[in-house]
This record gives sequence, structure tokens and C-alpha cells, in this order.
Amino acid sequence: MIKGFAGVIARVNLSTGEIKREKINEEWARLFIGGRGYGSKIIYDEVDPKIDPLAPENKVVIATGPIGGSNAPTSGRSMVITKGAETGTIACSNVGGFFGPELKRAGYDMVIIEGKAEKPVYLWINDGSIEIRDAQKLWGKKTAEVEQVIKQETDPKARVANIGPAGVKLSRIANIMVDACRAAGRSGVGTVLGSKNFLGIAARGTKKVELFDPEEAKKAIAQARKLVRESKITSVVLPKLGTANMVNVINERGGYPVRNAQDAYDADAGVTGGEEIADKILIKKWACAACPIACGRVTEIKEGKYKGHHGEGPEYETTWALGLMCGVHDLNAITYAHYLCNEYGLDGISAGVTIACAMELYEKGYIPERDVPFPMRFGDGDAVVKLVQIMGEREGIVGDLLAEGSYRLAEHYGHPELSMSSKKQEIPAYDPRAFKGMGLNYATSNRGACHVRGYTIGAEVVGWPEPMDRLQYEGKAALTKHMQDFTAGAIDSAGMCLFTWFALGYVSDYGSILRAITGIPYSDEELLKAGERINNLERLFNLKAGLTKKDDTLPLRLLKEPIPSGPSKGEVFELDRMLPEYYKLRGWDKEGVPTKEKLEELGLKM
Amino acid sequence: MKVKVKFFATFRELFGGEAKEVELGSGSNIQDLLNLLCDSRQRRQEIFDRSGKLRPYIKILKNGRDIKFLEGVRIELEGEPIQFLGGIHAKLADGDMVAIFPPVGGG
Ligand code: SF4
Repeated sequence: MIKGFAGVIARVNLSTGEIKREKINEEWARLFIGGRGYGSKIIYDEVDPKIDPLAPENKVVIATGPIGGSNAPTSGRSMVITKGAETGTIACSNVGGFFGPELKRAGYDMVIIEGKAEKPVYLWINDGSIEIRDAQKLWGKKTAEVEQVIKQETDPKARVANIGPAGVKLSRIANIMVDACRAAGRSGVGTVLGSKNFLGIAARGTKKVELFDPEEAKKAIAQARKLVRESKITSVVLPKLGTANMVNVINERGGYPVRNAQDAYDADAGVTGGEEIADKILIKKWACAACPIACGRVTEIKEGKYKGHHGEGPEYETTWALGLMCGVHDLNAITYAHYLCNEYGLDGISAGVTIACAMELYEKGYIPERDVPFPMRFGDGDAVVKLVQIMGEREGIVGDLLAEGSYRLAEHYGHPELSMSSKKQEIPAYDPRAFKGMGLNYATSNRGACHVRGYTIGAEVVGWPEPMDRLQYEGKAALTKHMQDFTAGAIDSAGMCLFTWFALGYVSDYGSILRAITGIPYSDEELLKAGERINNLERLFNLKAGLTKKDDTLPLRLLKEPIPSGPSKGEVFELDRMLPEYYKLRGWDKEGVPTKEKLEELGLKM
Repeated sequence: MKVKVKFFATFRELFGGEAKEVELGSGSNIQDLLNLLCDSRQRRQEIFDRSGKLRPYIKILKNGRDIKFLEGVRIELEGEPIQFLGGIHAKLADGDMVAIFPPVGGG
């Protein structure tokens, strides 16, 4: 029997109330590791890719990986895998906090949620026992209140993952909050839970997970912790300045999308960055389970009209999306808007980019006067706050459309090209015109535009593990593929946080921990191969769902409009210079379909 | 000539501010600029290793481009021109903007 796993998957059918316990499939653990990989295999096998993501036939897997719950640095991650409500693609959203390890200690590696409950419910998993509980009085309440009441009703030491008003109202950009401050944010995974009348899960456990070779595991984990201590990124800059240290880094390169990506540089972007956050609002840093890095920010707004509000964040992505992407420099308004996203259970990236889209539609006169709730101008921080509120409540015509995400909003008003999205998911805070690898990654990511699927910024900005000129096209197809496979195989499926990669830059660093914990003798090549298998499996799901090569693209603006100012002035993103090579490297045909030989090599079937 | 230098993250503390304007002789390069800026032992130690080389993890941008990928000196070898990447030898011109970062990442 392989180790590192609790060994059991809970299958909960909300339509019938039936709860089953299934054994972890060892062969799958070898081929798909766990977490994102294993969860995607379940969704691929059991969910018809063509269904409406909000139909009861859709399923949601909440999964930990084999490293999860050990003492390995950042091993507190869990992943949510489903057919995404925003994208219609296979979706996987990775989240920190303390829920994952608790679920494992409660005796389960994963929970599969299927069907649809008649009335709102939540799940209480207590050291092996599983109970479906009534959630009617909590349905539609803000996320922190839900978390608190569920803890009161179950165990104050329980760890809770839940949706908020946005998920309940089926906003397509609803997230799942863990510990009320970390988010499984992207692709509308919270929306799918909402469609099932499912509020969330509380878990509490005291079981120990057995490791294959505790001595070896201890050594490998100590080595990983040493690397994290030695890297200045993971030991100095992330704890000190949080992820928003990247605001200046990216803006100074002219790749920081501003006003719905009408520009990519702002001379004063720094007032929304990590240095300013540390100076003005930071109370203390915060860490997920077993994490020595502590990039989380506990903050309080100390002046202005939002004074006195406190919470967690903002992060690099949200200070950008709710900030400069909307032309806003007001850190207090950005921070408050971030708190609101957490409370409503809205994905902060998609919320900000959708608001930026609404602002451009409004300024260009594309939204008829009768629909406009109030002036929605770029640069107005208070408007961003109010727009998050009406988005979370689905209030009025515009509020209702905002909740659908930027693509559906822009399409409704006849200008889908103004949605800065790929596969209907909003882009994150790196302008593809200034970082060619990141652009290719956005275009090819199986869950829609995403930075953490293939973080080419490591090479293109940080110079880690090897530097590569951010503006060059040559070599970027290979870099993107490598990072996508590495992340899927060694990080997302093992159950660790991507930020460890700034210290553990090589597959072997993860492999040694995985081998000692599971006893499966994965070689480095096998881990990369597992990553490739996972990316191909996700691709197959999307192709069956009806996506084609046409969907591997970016908004016209990023392909055609040169950046008007700043250090990357004049740059556009030439997808055609990389996409054919990327398909070739992946072993896909010219239409982006995996060849028979590639599928055979990976042991997959169409 | 004058160049503007911006400091970020932990280097703001090290260099005592967010930005400085620096006067340099014409024909100066990044090395000359750094020599001028590192006027204390602590500054030198943070920026250069013991052998006087720029620490590899320090990122320097000239007008938004990593100096590592900027053109540097050009020489001829047996009649063939060879272009070296700039790095610390990248030339500066009046009005250039230089940004200096400690190791940064995340997001
Ligand atoms: S690095 Fe940040 S996001 Fe990652 S596990 Fe640690 S605190 Fe959580």
C-alpha cells in the first residue's frame, strides 16, 4: 500500500444523500499523483464535458495531494476540480489555508460532491464520520459569518471551506473561501457549489498520515526548508513585502496592464505596491499551514472613508485588478474592495478585470444610460468599491451582468473584444505584450487565462532558475511547456504552493520529498511526464467540450494594439510566432489535438 | 550627463530613499554608476560579492530592460564582429532611467 495518502475518498451524492467511501486507486496515484492530477482524472472519467457546468450532473472534487498534511514547507494546499462555471473548461483552483491538512487528518484525501441538494446544506467531516447538515439559515450570508457559525455548530477547531453570497447567487466568478481569508478563486468553482445548493465543508481530524520512510522524509523536508531559508525571495522579500512586491517589478518593465490594458505602465503604480502596503496598512504577516514563507498580509485601513476596516490582503493580483487595471491609485479603496471580494466570495482578479471592462464600456458610451447605476470612470476607487458591492448582490442591470464576468458583460453590450480574457477567464497582472512566455501560457492554459499554470515570469523577470529575455520569442514555447508540466506534476498534484519554486527550482527537489512520503519511486522524468499527462488529459476534456484551436488565443487588443507608453512601448503579442512550435513540442497536430502516438505514450485515451 | 536611479523593496532602506538623480561623466556605464552609489561598506557588500562581481540575483533595468539582455561591447575577432551582451558594461546616456531590485518574486 502506498503511503502519504489517507487512502480514502469520500463520495457524497447530494441528490440522494448517499455517502460512499472509496479506496485511493494506486495506479492513478502513480500516473496522476494526487490533487489536481488525480482530481482531473475523476472529472474526466465521470463528467460529460458537454454538460452545462451548473447542471446537477457536474461534479466537484476537493482534493489534497500526497505531500499535504506533512511537515513539508507549504504542504497545506488543497485543490478544487470541476467543469468551470465561467469557462466551460475543466477547472482547477488551488488554495492554501489550513483546510487541506485537516481534511486528511479527518481521514480523507478527497471529497467528491455530486448531484444537487433539495435545500441548502453543508458537510461536516469529523474524524471519519460524515454528516450532511442543513444550511438554510446561512445561505447567502457573507463568507466570514458562514465560517464562524459553522465552527460554532461543529467544532471551534474545525477548518472550513465555503462559498458566500456570490456563489449562492450563481455569479460565474464566485470562489470558495478557506479560513475566510484564502481563496480557491478562479474559473467559477464556487458557482458550481452554489448550483448544487452546497454551502461548504467543515473538517476536523486527529488521525496521523503514515509516511513511507519517515527518516528519509525528514531529511528531504529539512533540505527543502533549508532552501526556503536560503532564498532571499522566500525568506526576505515575500514575508516582508508580500506578493505585491511585484507591482514595481512588473511596472518598471512596462508590463503592468492599466485601464483595461489600454496601457501597460503607470508612473505612480508604486503607491499600490508591497512597499506601500507594508508602510501604510500592514498589521502582521500571515502563513498557511506548514508555511515558513508567510506571504499573507493581515491589514487594517487606517485613514479615509474606509478607516477601521480590517482583513487579509490585498495581494499582487488584487491590488492590480482592483487598482491600476481600473486606473485606481487609492490603496485604501483597493484594500476595501479586496475585503469585499473575500466577503462576497468573488474572485478578486476576475472581479477587478470585469469592473475595468465595465469602465471602458461606460467611457466609450456602449452602456445605455438607462442601465448605468452611477458614473463608472477609470480612476474612481469609490466606484470600484460600489461596483464590487452591486456585483456581489447582483443588484440592477449592470450588477447582474458584472456577476457574469467580463466576457458575458462585454458581449451583452456588443463589444466582446473589450473583455481582457482568454477562454472567458480574465487575465492576471502580467501584460503578454511585455512577457511573451506568459502570453503563450495565458493562451494555452486549460482553465483559461492564468499565470500560475506555467509561471514563465521566473525566467523572464526573476531570472530563475535561468534568465531569458522577456521580449524574445525564441525558446518560449519550450519554457511554457516545461513550466506547465512541472507545475502540474510536481507542485499542484503533490499539494504544495507554487511559491516554494523560488527556492526549490528543480523537479528533483520535489521528487525527493514525494518519494520518501509515498514510497512510489517517481523519477524526475516521471514527475514531468505525469505533469504532461495531466495537461493532456485536461486538454482532451476541453476538446470534447467543444473548444478548438480558436480558443487558444488572447484579446485582440493584446495581439494588435502596441503598448502606447512606458518601457515596453510599441510591443504587441505575436502568438503565431510561438503557438505552432508549442503544439509541435506537445506532440499535438496543427489543430492542437494530441496525436494518437502522444496519447499512447502517456497512456491516455480520447 | 544625468541619470535617474530608482530603488525598490529592501534597497530603499539600503540606499536611503526611493530615487536619486546621479551626475556621471559621458561614456559611463552601469559599473560606473554602481561604483558611485555604493559609497559605504554595507552598500558594496549587498551589491557586489567578494571578488567585486555584481551579485547574480540583483536585477538592474535600464529603461525597463534587464541589462543582462542589453547590447554591450562589440569586438572583432578575425574580421568577424562579435556582440557581447551588456550586463554591467551596458552604456548609459543622458536621461536614462535605471531601476535596481533585490531578489523579488511571487504574485
Ligand atoms: S507562500 Fe503564501 S500562499 Fe504559499 S503557502 Fe505560504 S502563505 Fe500560503
